[in-house]
Amino acid sequence: MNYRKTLAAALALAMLAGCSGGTSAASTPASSAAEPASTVDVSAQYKNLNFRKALSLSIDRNQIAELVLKDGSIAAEGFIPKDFAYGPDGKDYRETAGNLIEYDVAKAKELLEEAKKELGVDNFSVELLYETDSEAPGKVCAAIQQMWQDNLGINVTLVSKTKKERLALMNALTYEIGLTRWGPDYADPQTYLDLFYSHSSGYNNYYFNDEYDALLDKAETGEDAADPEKRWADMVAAEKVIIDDMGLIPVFQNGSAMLINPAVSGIEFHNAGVDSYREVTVNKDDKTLNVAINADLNTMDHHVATDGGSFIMQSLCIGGLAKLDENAQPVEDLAESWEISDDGLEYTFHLRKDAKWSNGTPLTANDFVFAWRRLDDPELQSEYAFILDTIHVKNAKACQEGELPLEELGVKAVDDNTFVVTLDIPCGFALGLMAFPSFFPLNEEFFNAHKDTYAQSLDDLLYIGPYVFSNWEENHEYTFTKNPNYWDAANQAKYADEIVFTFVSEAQSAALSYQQGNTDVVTLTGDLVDQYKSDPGFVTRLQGYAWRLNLNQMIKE
Amino acid sequence: MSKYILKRVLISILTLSAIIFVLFLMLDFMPGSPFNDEKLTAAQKALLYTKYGLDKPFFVRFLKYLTAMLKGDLGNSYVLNKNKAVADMLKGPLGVSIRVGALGMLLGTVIGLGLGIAAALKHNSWVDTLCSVVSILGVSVPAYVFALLLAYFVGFKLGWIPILYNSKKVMASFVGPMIALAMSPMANVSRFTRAEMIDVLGSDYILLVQAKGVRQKDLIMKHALRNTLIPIITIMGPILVNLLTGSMVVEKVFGVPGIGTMMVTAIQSNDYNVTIACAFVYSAMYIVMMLIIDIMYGIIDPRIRVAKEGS
Repeated sequence: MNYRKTLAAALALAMLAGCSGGTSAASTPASSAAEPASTVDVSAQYKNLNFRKALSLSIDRNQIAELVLKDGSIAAEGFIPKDFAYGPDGKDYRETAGNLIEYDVAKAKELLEEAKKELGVDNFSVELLYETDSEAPGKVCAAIQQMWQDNLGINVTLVSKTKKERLALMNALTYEIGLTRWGPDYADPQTYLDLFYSHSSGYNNYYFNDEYDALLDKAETGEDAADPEKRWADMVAAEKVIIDDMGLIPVFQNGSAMLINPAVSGIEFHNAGVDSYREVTVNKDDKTLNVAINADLNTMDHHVATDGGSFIMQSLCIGGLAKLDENAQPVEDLAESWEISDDGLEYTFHLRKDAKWSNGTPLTANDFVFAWRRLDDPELQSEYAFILDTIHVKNAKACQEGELPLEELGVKAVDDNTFVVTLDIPCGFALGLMAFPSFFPLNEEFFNAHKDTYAQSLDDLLYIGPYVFSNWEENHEYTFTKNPNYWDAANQAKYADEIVFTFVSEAQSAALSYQQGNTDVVTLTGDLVDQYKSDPGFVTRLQGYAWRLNLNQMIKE
Repeated sequence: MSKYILKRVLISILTLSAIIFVLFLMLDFMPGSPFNDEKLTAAQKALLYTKYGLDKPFFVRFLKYLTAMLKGDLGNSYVLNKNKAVADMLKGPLGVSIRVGALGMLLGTVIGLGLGIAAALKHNSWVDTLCSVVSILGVSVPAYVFALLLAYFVGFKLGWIPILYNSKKVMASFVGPMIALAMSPMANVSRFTRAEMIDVLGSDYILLVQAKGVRQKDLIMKHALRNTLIPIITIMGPILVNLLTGSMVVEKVFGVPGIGTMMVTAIQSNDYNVTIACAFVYSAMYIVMMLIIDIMYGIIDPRIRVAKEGS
């Protein structure tokens, strides 16, 4: 009996010690600041421009992409990745902005010597933080460690954490250098540039640049917002400002290696936006497409979804005013035509008269009004509500914050077939976003009949897209079959009869199943690339994800 | 006996309550949040916390959860299956996991017993050597490796079993995970059975039974096996723990839609309610098994039953 009491006391003590450990750690910086500075203030080295430049110049990004990752990733040429945003002239953003990144070890060494003089130190030590949820970040950071040690003689300590821990550390600014990534929400550089706009998002708040902020103000809400060419030039300039000042160090753009059955064609990959499986041709007897997915379906409610996999399945079942064609340009879908006012502030969409929901109710403009208001509803707290404000829908922000009633949101149903959107500021990429599930319609009557269970089972779903969700085996398999009431059913006949998504978290098992012919589409992990690169179905695709190093200039202990 | 069982059930309930508390506490210390989307601003995150009641103090949340739980409400998922009731999410996967696990345990125990008995009877023969090799392999090679080997050789090369779970061929899909999971119980059971059996067979009462002229089959089945089983039942607890942890990775390899995969995803994404529910289910299964084992123990060995009734 006695030992139990002792054990309990020991536990309690340990917990107390744990708590006090936390508080004393918080008070350390104050006490150490009072002592004579025998070691360098860690933040100071990251505040030194020459040091930051030396770090960037000594990274051989091509080696990282081609020898370390080998999955179709490419070396970064700037903050904004390639092949996802196109300017008013139709050219890829990167083509206009050019390559802003250099690899020059000699210059790096020179700058490092200057940094040493400026800071009065003999050498540098850095801590490099990365996540272990996937294997690429670890490999990349090990390569960077090697490069910095060999090229600059810097001591590099690697710190590995799970993704959520890494994000928590970066949000709290308790890290030195962190490898992080961003995926675009829409096809415009703004989706990246906004990250470093002052006080925009937690873990980039180590860096502020007035010149950068001013350029973005001008481009997004100011004098150049309505002029696509000037706006584009401002964004190119802003990127150059932040790269010249090394506010961040771009590293690589994500590729993805896949196995796709050569009998399958027509899967559209969109670097900014949702991949489309709507028009896939399957040259097999049963016309069934079997896709292995490495992340499970999270929700069929398109207003609360945040992940690519869920968006793909929602796009099969519903659809937007527009869809993206193979060149990622918006073309008519549920709207048969649209007009944009001369000042670019009013969008009038004419809905298809033949589009019907699967319960027979015709599509009306109110389905969009209701859906967009729900997306913006402070009650719902959709994680994607921000996207209404991103395209500058009138009053989106005020309604989302509860300052104005939802009726004030800039959307209205002029009649059953005419849906009008009013913007505060013109937005060049608004049309492309109409293909994004957050903007899909929702039938008010159906929703109100289901409310809390909406989209949670097959009975709680309504369809207007080319497919219906026919078998929902949670945690495992999601089957979609053709929607007989689809307005374009005749044209849809040539595409896959059935699409089956199977959740397999082990890529090796999925790849074996592909080899057996039971699975048509598999995403490979990096370690499987060498094993499968000679398979006729092996493909690599570039993704919109850009990986960068954040160099924390405001380290908190 | 019923008094003893009642007492054990009460202790089990207390243990489970303590487990929920510790789980809640540990999740509170876990870094990150369920809303990890990098696109969220601090203000939005705060609003989401308020919406789901995560901004409340620890004990308020804990008591709220506990009272809801007594009514059978395990809360809603934040990430895995947004806003869906966790109790509904668990039903399907739990059934699958229990079936695979029970089959694996049954298969492993039966083969393990057979191997152990055979090894004991043919002490120091090739059967004995085989038994030792199997138990060393089974104990030292993790279930995950067996699963990968099975998927590759039996599933891919020979094509005898499906590599990935197929809900249209459930029994065939269970074969791979079942064998992979059976390895560890088989190894442990055969090792213990062999040692116990050799011990029992050398005892005086067996000599007496033999002297009575009882047939070899009856000697083993009726007299020796019963006493051999007692120590083996004691190791069923640890075996079950092995099985539960092994099932998480085995399910992953074969794409089995069980609770193991769900729990791993839930932990990674800080889906608090799902994590607690899964961990709770695992603990409850373990505690219930231990209870059953204790009761079985009493049935098989009357001495224990008598001693316990006396206390």
